[in-house]
Amino acid sequence: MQIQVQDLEHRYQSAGSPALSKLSHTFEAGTLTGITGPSGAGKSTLLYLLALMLTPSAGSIRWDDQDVQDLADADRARLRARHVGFVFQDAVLDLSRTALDNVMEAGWLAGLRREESASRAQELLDRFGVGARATYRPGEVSGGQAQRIALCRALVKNPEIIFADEPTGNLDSESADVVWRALADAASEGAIVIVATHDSKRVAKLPNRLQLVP
Amino acid sequence: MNSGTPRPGYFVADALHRLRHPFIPTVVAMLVAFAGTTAIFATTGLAVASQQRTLERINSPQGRLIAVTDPQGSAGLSPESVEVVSNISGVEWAVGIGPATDVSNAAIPGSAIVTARRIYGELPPAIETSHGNQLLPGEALAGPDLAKQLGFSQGVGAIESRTLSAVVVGNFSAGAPLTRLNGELLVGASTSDSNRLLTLWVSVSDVAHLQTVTRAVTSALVVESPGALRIDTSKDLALLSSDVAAELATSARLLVTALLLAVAILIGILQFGRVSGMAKDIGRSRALGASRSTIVLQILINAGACGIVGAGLGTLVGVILDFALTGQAPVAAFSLSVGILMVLAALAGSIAPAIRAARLDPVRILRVP
Ligand SMILES: Nc1ncnc2c1ncn2[C@@H]1O[C@H](COP(=O)(O)OP(=O)(O)OP(=O)(O)O)[C@@H](O)[C@H]1O
Ligand SMILES: [Mg+2]
Repeated sequence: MQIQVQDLEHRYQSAGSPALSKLSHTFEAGTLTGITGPSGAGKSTLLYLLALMLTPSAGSIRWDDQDVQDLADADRARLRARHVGFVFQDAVLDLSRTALDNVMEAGWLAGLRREESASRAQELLDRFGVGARATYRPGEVSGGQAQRIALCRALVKNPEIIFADEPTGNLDSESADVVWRALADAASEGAIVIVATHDSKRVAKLPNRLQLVP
Repeated sequence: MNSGTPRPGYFVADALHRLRHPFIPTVVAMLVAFAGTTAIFATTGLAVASQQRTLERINSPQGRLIAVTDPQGSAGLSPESVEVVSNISGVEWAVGIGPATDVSNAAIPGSAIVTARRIYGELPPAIETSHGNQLLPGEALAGPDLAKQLGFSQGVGAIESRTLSAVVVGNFSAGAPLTRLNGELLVGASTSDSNRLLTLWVSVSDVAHLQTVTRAVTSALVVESPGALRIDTSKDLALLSSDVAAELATSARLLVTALLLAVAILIGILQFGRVSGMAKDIGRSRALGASRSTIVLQILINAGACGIVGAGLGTLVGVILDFALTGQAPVAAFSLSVGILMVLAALAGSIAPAIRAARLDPVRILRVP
């Protein structure tokens, strides 16, 4: 799979200057790309555009051979549900649900069966060392554990595309290592992984980098 | 391969979760639907139940009876009228009786004297007999205990008078509206004989058609001087009830509409509050791939579930309440409609909040920590 953007531009309705302008780039399957740039450079905006949560003001986004920038909401939602895993800066978990149910929600929405969702979710929680917290609610786990649960949620549907927006911003270096390793593993298994981050040391070691300027 | 479309099981599991989290809006929405439903039963339902009772009283055998009488015995009402009137559509049955004659046991001169009448036409269901519903000319049926009075030990025997002789072949017992015949002897007669009728009773199938059938009966009678006849029906009662029904329908419709509207608005406000409280969850679901229609469906399922539970319990309590107060439950169609309308009101009130939920911008929501 491949994501190709051409002259991509985004201007928020209330804003004068574009949050992202004239970006052209190709993201290949099996690569982990680090996106850097100062605050306000448009890193998050780019991820939301690529994840089809925003419609670009100009330019095109192609998933393989399909132009996806102008699709109807229902089609975007379906593509997102099928192919995209997203790790947000804050874990963004449902406070009323257990860790397991939080992870399962992404599986349900992708169209997985309940048992399938549940078993994959438990597997991932175990793999990232939070299996014992499966029945805990977000208010009962640490910040690092919450972010690992969010990571499991992004991976539960075996997505071909993974976006992460400063996934390690709030984590200690050990938890951050776990998350980075997981993202690298997903890329080596064939996914397109795109990470927006301020962690320039880690990005410096990546073969694929994209620097945004405000 | 992921389909990207959630299975029905997701909606069920999600709905059950969201009914419990948060719990308060769910309970309040159910209470609103419950209160609205019982309010309808406590007002309109009561009226419907008592109207139902009035209608049942009017639609009783007594209320459906047309009595054609010849009080002076001068009208010349022919027994042929019985057959003619029986064939009018909307007539359940018609039976004619002649004037009273005194008769006694033919075998015992000077025995007890009882009243006998000729009866014309098939015996109506109101008269139960030991002998079927056809009485041949010359056959007679005795009212309860009458055979004993006449001294018939086996219940059968001959009777006679100056104008009439017959064989008693069994007995009968008359229910409403013909109970006045009990205590007499009914003698079968041919509708083509030359005697005259004293009274012709006509029972109408449906009280709603009482007036039309009365007109048809009046014009079909075989009679010499129709002006001498008296025709009695319960038409005043029937008219009154249709007036009451019409008036009730208007005011009830108004009240029910107002209550449904109030429930829709209250549940709408509750759902708006719920949507605001759930904004973060809705934004997250959208980011994970929930479509707008998935969000709308989730809100409507929640509203529908609250409506079904509230309106269901409300209908149950309302029916019991009406039964306790009037001794009569409202007609099933009314109760069912109230319940269904209440669920629809809950759904209708939730449409605007559901659309608002679906239009929430996930990007804006996710930017706020
Ligand atoms: N809804 C909005 N309306 C107007 N302007 C917006 C809106 N959302 C974001 N912006 C602007 O778009 C620009 C890019 O924001 P974005 O979040 O993409 O930056 P970023 O590179 O992710 O920054 P950070 O590193 O701080 O996360 C910012 O200047 C921001 O103020
Ligand atoms: Mg950002």
